Amino acid sequence: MIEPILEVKSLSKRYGDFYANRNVDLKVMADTVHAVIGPNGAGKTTLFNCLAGAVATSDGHIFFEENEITGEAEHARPVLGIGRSFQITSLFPGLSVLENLRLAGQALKPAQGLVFWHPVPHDCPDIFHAHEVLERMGMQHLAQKEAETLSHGQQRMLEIGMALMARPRLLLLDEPTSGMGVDDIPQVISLIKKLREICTILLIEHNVGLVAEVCDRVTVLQNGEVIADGTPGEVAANEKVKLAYLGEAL
Amino acid sequence: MNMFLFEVMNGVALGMIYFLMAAGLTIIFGMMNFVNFAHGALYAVGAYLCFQVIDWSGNFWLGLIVAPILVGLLALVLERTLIRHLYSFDHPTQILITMGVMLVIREVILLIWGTVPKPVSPPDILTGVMVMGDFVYPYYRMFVIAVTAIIGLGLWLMLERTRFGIMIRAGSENSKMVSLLGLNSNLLFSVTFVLGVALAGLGGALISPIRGADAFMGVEALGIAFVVVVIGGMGSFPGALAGALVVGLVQSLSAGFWPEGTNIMIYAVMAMIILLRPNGLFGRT
Amino acid sequence: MNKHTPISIHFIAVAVLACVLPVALQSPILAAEVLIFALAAIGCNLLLGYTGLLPFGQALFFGAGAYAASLSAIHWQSSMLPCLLFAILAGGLLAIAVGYLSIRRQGIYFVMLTLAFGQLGYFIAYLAEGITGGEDGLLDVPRAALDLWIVPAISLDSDWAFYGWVALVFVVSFISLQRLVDSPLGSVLQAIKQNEQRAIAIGYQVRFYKIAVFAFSGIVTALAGALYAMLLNFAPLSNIDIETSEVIIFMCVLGGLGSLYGSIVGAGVYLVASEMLSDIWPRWMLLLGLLMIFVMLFARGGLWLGLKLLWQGVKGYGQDKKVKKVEVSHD
Repeated sequence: MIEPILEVKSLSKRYGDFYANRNVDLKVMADTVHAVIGPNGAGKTTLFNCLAGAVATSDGHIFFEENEITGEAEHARPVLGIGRSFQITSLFPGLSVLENLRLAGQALKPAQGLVFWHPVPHDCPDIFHAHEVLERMGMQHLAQKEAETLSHGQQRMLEIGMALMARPRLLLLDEPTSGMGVDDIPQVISLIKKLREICTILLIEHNVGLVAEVCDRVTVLQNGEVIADGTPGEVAANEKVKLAYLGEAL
Repeated sequence: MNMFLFEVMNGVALGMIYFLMAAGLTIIFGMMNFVNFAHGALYAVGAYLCFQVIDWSGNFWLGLIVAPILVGLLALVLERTLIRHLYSFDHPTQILITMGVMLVIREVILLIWGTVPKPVSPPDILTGVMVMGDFVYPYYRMFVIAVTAIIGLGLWLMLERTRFGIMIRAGSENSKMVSLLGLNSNLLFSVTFVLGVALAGLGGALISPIRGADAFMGVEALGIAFVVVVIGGMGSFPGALAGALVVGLVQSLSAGFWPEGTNIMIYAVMAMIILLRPNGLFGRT
Repeated sequence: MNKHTPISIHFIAVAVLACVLPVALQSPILAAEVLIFALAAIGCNLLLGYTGLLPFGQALFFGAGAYAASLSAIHWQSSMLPCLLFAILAGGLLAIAVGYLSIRRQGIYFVMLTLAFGQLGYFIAYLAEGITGGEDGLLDVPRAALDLWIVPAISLDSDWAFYGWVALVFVVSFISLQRLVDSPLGSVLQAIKQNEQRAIAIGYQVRFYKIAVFAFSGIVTALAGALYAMLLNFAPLSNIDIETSEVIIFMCVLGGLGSLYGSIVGAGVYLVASEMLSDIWPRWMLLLGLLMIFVMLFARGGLWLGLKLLWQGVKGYGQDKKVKKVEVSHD
């Protein structure tokens, strides 16, 4: 808990005159679960996209394990050790669960994707790893099913599983419970508790119960700016935060 | 000098026909994000129907008015039965299906009217040439320029001033907006498609006295209409006009010294615009 | 998805097909044409069926292959293998260039770029009369002999000998490409087709893969063009026009997207239908258009899927069972 694994220094993202993020500072300590929360339109997803490289930052710097990654391409970041899941489920719908995971594993070895002269071997390390990930999520029985035939909750889990295939040291989870029924949420909570053993987690979440239960630290965004940062307890007591959420409730 | 003026006028006439095609393509694309590869075939239908009505009635004006209306009706049937199910598909799928439609329409044309192109004569009042000093120009082409200019102006007024036009522009800015405004988007889509295709039909009818009615005339016209729309910016109405005039002028002005090179230039310009300015010259960024 | 049919089965299947085809069609020329256009349709399928890119300028690679092979046969009296090598080089390099530029845009803009490059190629070939013969095309293209240096050169002038060579090239290409689509590279193409955004997010440099698949597509399409010129003894300008691009797309879609066998079926049905029907009912293309709409709306697996369903139906009838599930996407 000494070194920040991810450090964001005065990051801004502008769309024309509109600031989606303004001077955001963020330190995510290694081996913690860190949440970014905030009312709708606070700029959480934009921040996430900047971290994952899906959109270019307008200003500021991002350091991962003390190396600057601000300008790294989106496809390079999983290789560096940053995995992400999507808020809106984004899978390879026509492919099997196992193949979804295997492809995510193969992506880390660019040289392997060049192989065009022999079929995918049945016993490649990625397949073993994919089975491990499935086991961790309790989804072994679904390995051969096509992704589009899974239930919504299962698809959300697979979404996280694909990010795990990269053996990320930092895992970005964009609203892992989005669209889930209440019954499925404990499953996600227990998965996050298991995952924190192997990597640092930064997540966006609306479900307050989940945040309070699994997160060590919470950063609150409003109108693109950080308004509070601290333990869940500290943040919950913060007047600005109360006001921000009150504003939304009205 | 007068040769130059002659070519400029020809370029404008040609450009205005392209404009009719392109305007239809572009409002359909803007509104429904739909790529209609059957547009050229429907343009050919316009030419044949014009021929047919004139053949029966002996009246050019009747043909010119009835042909686009019939093409619009055909578009309505197509939209209701097939096209409306395609709006949510990706572009490649839309293109492949409308290519199938194009093929069916072309073959039906050949079934009905045979493989020999049909000549269409302009009405007596428009035959002959206008002589002004040493400048000579066919009356019919003057007429084409005038009619398309009026149609273009009417379309522009409709888009700018009427409720329907506002809806179309809202829709091409953001198709979700239409349903947010609580408008009947099904009806609006049908009307837009019919209007767009009827414009192509009118283009076909108008050009028939110049080029005749030919089942394969749509292929070239479709290619050029897409070039025009891409140059002007997909979804942009002023862009379609500017793009059409540019292409028409380039085509007829270079016809004098390097006819074969014209097409190279047109396609090269299109490729460069897509690569360097993907929203076209007038498209929204 | 990881259980691919062994390559030996594929080999037997296409080898048997290549032997039966000329007998069944009673013409080595028509059979050669079917295999040649099957190669071109396969080239299109790699892009359209496996990667989700609709290429509207495949004729450019087909024509480039035809010109390259014909020119080396006419001017340098090259034997067969160098001729095909030149064709492959021409098609592959052109495809890399076209791919590199076209994949910068998506949807309709991608399609228009491939169309524009195809048209540019056409008009350049039309203008470069000294090299390509312009409108007349390249006449009197000799069928280069097969010279393997260690044995005496084999003449391919007879239609049967030429068919044998086409069949050999076809089987080798088919097997190689079947391995390609089953390979790790092929699996990335599937991923791009299914969800390009996600493929990037998990770490694939999608642009590179798209250029690579363009290169393979260009190579196999150019190979087809080269063989076609030698079959006809003629490299017409129409090889490179938009209609050829369309015909290749029709064959590919009709046969079935995402299956190399589908492309054989598509090319076969198209060519045999045009051979047999165009005399009886010249408007047979009407059916083609209807079929195209039907396939795209309801059965992306195309005629190949139809054949498989039929086969399973027959088998199922024998076993008195109903067909429950048909695999569509892969072979």
